Amino acid sequence: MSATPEARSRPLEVALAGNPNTGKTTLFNALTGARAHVGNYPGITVERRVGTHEAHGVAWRVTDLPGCYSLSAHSPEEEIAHHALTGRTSDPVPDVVVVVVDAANLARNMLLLLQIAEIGRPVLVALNMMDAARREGIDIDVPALQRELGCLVVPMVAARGEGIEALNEAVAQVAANPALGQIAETVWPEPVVAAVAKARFVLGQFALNRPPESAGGVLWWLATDPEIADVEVPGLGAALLAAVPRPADPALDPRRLATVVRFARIDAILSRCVQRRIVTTSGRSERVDRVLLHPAFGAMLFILAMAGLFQAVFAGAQPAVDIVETAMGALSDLARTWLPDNLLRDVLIDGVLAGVSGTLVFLPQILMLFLGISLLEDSGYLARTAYLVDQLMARIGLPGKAFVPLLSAYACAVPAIMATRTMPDRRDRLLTIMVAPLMSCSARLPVYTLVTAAVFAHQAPVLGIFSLGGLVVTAMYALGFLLAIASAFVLRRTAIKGGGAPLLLEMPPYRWPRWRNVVRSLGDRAWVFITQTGTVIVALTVVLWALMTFPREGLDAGIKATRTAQAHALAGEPAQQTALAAIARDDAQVKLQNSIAGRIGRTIEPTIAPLGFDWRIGIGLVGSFAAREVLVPIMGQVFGRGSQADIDDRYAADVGKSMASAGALTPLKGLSLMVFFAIAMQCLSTLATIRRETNSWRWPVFAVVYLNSLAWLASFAVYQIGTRMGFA
Amino acid sequence: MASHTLDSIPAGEPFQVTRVALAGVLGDRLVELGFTPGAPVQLLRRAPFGGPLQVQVRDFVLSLRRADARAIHTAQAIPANQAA
Repeated sequence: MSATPEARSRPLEVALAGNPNTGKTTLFNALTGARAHVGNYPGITVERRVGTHEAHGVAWRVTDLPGCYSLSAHSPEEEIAHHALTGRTSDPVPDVVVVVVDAANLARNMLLLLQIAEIGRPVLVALNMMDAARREGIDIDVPALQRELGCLVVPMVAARGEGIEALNEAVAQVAANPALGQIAETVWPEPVVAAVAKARFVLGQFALNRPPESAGGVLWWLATDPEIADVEVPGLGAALLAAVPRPADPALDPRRLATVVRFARIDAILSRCVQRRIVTTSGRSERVDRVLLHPAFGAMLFILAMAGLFQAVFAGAQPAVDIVETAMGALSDLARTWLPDNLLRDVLIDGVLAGVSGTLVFLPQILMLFLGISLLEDSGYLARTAYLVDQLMARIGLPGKAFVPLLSAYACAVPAIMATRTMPDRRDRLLTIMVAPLMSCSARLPVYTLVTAAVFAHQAPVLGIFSLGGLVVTAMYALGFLLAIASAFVLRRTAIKGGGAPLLLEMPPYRWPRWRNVVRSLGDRAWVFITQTGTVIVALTVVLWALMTFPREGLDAGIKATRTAQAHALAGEPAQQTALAAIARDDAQVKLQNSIAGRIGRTIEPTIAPLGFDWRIGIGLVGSFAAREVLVPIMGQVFGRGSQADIDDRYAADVGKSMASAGALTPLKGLSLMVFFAIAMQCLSTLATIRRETNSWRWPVFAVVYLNSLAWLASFAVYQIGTRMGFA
Repeated sequence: MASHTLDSIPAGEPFQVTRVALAGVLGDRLVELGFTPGAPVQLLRRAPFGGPLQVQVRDFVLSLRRADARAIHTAQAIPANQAA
């Protein structure tokens, strides 16, 4: 063995490349253990995983490149993989590229291997999932494959840690002798050679500040989206397109010809190294699919699985949410008694701690949803769900992969938006993110309860059986869903043009989920949410607290002193306490009314009056940006009921009744308020999540503007038409 | 030999790709996934209500929409299949 004897000044750069579903991440986890860091590549939301490993006294820095089928830059993953392999990201160029290959699906996997070798990086093959190949009756002659390719081939079962030692050895050998990592170049036919020569000439003219590219490197430029080439060097894409135009017959296109020639080479190599003992194509997975994708039975199972997932997120996470809320409530009570009563205490408790709590309460739902998704994904069923609902979703203008995120948005938009990561197309994903907040989430329920209990509870049942309140709430769900479809339709033609990516979805073989991978991905997800989304939530909560607090003008000092004196004069301790509590409540009420938020409420009153809202509800609209359900305690405070942390149905109903008796809530005004809440974007945690998932403030701002305009218009229509029709 | 597009062949029977008659990125992508002339392909099933198709190409299973599958031309594989 020949691990480099010289002391390295920097760790060995090892990149893991490979198709999706090859066990690449399993191998990465096996190599790096807990010493890994998950982040994003700058500017885009492709995940970047880097970790360390040590073998034979040599430290490695391992990068798990995004999974991709090819290096032709048709997707952000492919672009990043190519850029990482050619040193165009902030990471150093890899010394050794381990191409992880699914032994049961060699031909398609080897295309990427050839492409990586063509651009000149030293490669070796991790021939993973040998057990699955054996099960499928595929015999691979590894020494022969190694001879044919000319690079090292390490058979492995990464999930069981088999072959790791041999991989350590092989990487050390290639690091010591990069020539071991070369694959003889494919012999290109004339049209490809001619195209490469023309493109090379164009590249030369643009004087890229890099050594001349290998034929494979030039082919990458040719297969690149002209837009991407233009990002790197303005005008290059167009110049390449002019030099090598696409011929009318796609079969004659040199780019495509190159792929066909690579596959011909791969087929020739495999014909000499791979034997199939079983010729039948109906493997284990196909037999499972006959049941799970059965037209009737499969649909039933699908509905069952989705109902289970939804139930887990919607209800299953609730006990944990309660624990988080109780614990955070106890913590702030503790802080309130321990810390001196001053502004610093208030900002700590009502700003920072409230923000932290507002972050942590999302964790149970996020973990529950991602537990479900990673089990579905790891088992191979998630891809099948997209197949099953693609046609249904196509009718509402979204791809099949949008189904699970949108379903979970009925519980909460925050995990739902995070779940759009499973969607491959950027525009489809953005579109799904933009309409997900329209799904009626669970935070809207307390608001619906407030209204229905106050103004719809005592109405006669519709058709004798349906309670009016129940019907109205159902209508809100329908409204959100229909508007989501309409918005998707409009956005697809305006702000998010294009997209509608073709469905080309690999259906990976069914497998038992690997608990280690599941737990690990949950941990990563939680960490990223807390550190990146959480900080934004805390910051926004502090700002909101300031709006609702300053300038702290409560009851007039004279009045307060008189009333306090009167209270103390009352007979009996309980009566005194009640009177004092009433003073404190009134003081808080006046403070809130005089706060910046209160002033905003007054200022915006002319704009919300046509919706049937007065300035007091305006305060609620400002304050409920923290979370929709916060409307209830804010209204409690404004309407003199006092605020309460635990928003149960009875409290919501009481607040609603106070509003009704103060004239702020009538059936028509209540309906208008519900419609507004069903549509409006009023959740800063969702905004922080959109910001994190789209990597810019542009989309969260867009969501606020479009959804709130829509909410205003809808409530306007409800209230104005309702008034004209004589309702009140 | 009669040419059938992938969306119209009978399920469960071995066919092979003859050509991908679609220019542009989607066509490129199909070829990169292994739909090259001579590659063994089989239609496994069609999703109900005009939904996508599940097909096996070479050694893996893929789902794609019927409209896209229409661009993939196939021919019946020789019964004594000796591909690869």
